[in-house]
Amino acid sequence: MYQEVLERFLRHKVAVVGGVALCIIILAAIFAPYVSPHDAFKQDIANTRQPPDSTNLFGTDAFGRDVLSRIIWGGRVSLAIGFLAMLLSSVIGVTIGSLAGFYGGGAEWLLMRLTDMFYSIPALLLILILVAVFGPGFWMTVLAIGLVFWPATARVVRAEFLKIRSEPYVEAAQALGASPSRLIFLHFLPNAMAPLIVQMTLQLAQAIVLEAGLSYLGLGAQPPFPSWGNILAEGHMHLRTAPWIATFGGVFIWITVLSFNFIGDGLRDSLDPSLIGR
Amino acid sequence: MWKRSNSIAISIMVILLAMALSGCGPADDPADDEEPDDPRYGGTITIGYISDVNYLNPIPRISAVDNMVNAWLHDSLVVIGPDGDPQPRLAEDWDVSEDAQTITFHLKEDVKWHDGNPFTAADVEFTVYTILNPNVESTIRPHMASLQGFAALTDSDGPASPDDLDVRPVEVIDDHTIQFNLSRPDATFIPMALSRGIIPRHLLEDDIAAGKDLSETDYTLEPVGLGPFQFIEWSRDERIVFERFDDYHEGRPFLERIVYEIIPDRSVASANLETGDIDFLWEAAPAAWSGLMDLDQIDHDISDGLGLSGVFLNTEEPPFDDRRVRQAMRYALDMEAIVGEYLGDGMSLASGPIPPNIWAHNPDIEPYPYDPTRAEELLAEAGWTPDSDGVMQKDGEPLAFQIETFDFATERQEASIAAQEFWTDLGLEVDTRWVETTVLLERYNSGDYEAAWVNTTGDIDPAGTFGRFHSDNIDSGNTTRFSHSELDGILDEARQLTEQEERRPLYWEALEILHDEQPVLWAGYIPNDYWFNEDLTGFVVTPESEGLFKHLHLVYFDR
Repeated sequence: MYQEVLERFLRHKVAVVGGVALCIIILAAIFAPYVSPHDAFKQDIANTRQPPDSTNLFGTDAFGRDVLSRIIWGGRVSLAIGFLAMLLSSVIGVTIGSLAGFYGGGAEWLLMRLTDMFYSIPALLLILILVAVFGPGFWMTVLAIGLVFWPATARVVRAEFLKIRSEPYVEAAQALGASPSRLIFLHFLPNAMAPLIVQMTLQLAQAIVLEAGLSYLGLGAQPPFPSWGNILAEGHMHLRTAPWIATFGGVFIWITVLSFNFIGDGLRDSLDPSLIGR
Repeated sequence: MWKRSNSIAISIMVILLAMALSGCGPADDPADDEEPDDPRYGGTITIGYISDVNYLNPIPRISAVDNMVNAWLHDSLVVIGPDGDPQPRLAEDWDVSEDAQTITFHLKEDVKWHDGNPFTAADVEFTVYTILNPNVESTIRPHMASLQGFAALTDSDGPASPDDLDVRPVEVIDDHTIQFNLSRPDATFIPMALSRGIIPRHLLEDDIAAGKDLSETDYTLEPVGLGPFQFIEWSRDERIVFERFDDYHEGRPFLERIVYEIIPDRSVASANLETGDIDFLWEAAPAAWSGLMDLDQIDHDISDGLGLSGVFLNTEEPPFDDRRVRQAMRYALDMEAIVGEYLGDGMSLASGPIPPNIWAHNPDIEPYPYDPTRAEELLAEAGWTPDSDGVMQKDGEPLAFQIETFDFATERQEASIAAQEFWTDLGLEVDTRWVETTVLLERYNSGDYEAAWVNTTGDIDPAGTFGRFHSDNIDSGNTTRFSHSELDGILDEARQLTEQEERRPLYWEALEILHDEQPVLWAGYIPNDYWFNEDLTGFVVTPESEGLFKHLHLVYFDR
């Protein structure tokens, strides 16, 4: 089956392009200290806002730092926040969604109303309140985005569990006396994986955009640490005199988010069980 | 009462909202009743600025924006003219006694409040007692310290009544004559204490007698003043609208309306000026200057001011309670580069708190040079040694602090980031943080901060500026909480003198001490910058940056 999924994914051209672009960006971020052409933190007041040339391919920023190097390092922060926030939201969402979908009844009612409650708070507002109370920073950004995203995951997981609950193989396992944890981990979760993976991919993209938005407002990653969002924010003050700073920062957010969305599309099509085996 | 919002969240929402709304500024009022004989009358001026006022009331004077907006609504006995000297405004003239301790003001007759009531000496008396009242928040109070009975009247543990005093500080002679009795000669009293707005006794007397602060009165919602423009409406964090007051005592103002538009993002404000959505911008972001200067439809006026930009240090708490640490911080900065690159073309490097256009400036004092080696030596003298990572340590504690500035002040944010790098090179651990204006101001004024990049407006008389380093004022303007007994003595002595030639040597000595002590890492002297629609004319520029707004009744559209 995995063979087949992979083949179908590879037939999805746009998803493959997205995957390749993303691999390059992720590898560059991981190996930032080795691949970035200059020191991303070293300021040089004598060399600020220089347009792109052969030494600084993407030009320099308002502090004379190499924009390309900062984008590579910024990718670390932006991607790390995206991944971690997505993981956090998945852990909470899967737990709550599984419990609600598996047990049903009063527990389900309670858990889903809690989910609805979180769902009904505007995301940006919740994040702004959290950051205002606890102060901005890397982990606060992860926490804030994770807390905003989990209700969507919980709903997806619960909906899948409801479908699975009435499948004959589940009834068979139950009749054989399988424990709830065995049922959840061996029967329910694996079968709910396809929509969950798609959901996680799309959330990752949303998390990166949200991080950029927060950093743009000065509430995400804090200087001198670069993230794509604060590169964009620092660049916006100099749009007239040094448009390359914000432009390149924005382009990388754009490519990354687009890639994740393409991959999500590709995964959705290739993981769709109604198409498998045809 | 207005609750001051202290949440970043709320302010961000407001910013987003304002950004959405700022594209649709109001058009000129078509209902202008044009004066057929004089084309100068009529028109609406839209003035953009980053923040809302705290109070539509001249007494608290929390920030520069309060001073600006209240200048249209309210009026004062004297105003500071272009030469920096006080001119009569609500006063016809005044006499000063031989011993300089009795000042008699003759007030103009037939001056009316916006509600039609007559203005009399009783209003002036009421205003002075309100400022002296310890229940009332006012930054003007310290400027009245030379009045008779000041200490007894302002005692927060039970202020005296003027009736209990041997000599009253203010005496109403008749409806249009009022006398101020000073306990010592004070050259700053007229320019500093009497250039502030007068409030109406007939509307506020009961509230103040009931022990209320001005912010708790209904008056702040519908203020009535003596100024050239009267209040129409206030949409909090959005706009305030004023209309000309036809019975203004200096003559009918030319402009029909003032719309004060709050635009929290300064790059948006510059763009709004460019497109004509606003007519006037004060304090444009330095990064926008070159772009604005290239525009034909925008005129500008840039002149020497009184303001000052610098890193204010809380000298009460470690590590900045040690002078050597403060000096090291300053030596570590290439301030010339920081000022030139980030704080704007119009700013010149500062050596201390008094700019060169003020007579007390000491030209012999040079700004600290950029000398990282000297900085290391000073830290070593103070007992700080680098650990294996190069971070300066003392008794196991790293030399770490947070530098803050306002969330709108992009140029100071950039300057802070540049300074952070210089300090990191020296082995300090520095965090930067951008904070919502009212939140940071409140903490900064109460000493709840470590280091802050702040712009201050200077006082027209150097005594006011120096007062910010006097230990008597630690909770009222001495934001660095600086305490130095020798400096206190010099300032006390200078306060007794009225002649500039006698005061100057003392102030020069005070500047030497401040230069050595560095409670503030002085960066640059801020010029006054105004940007406006080329059709506007008649502005009167004074050394006080908000001074221009006290002469707005003379401005008109020359179309």
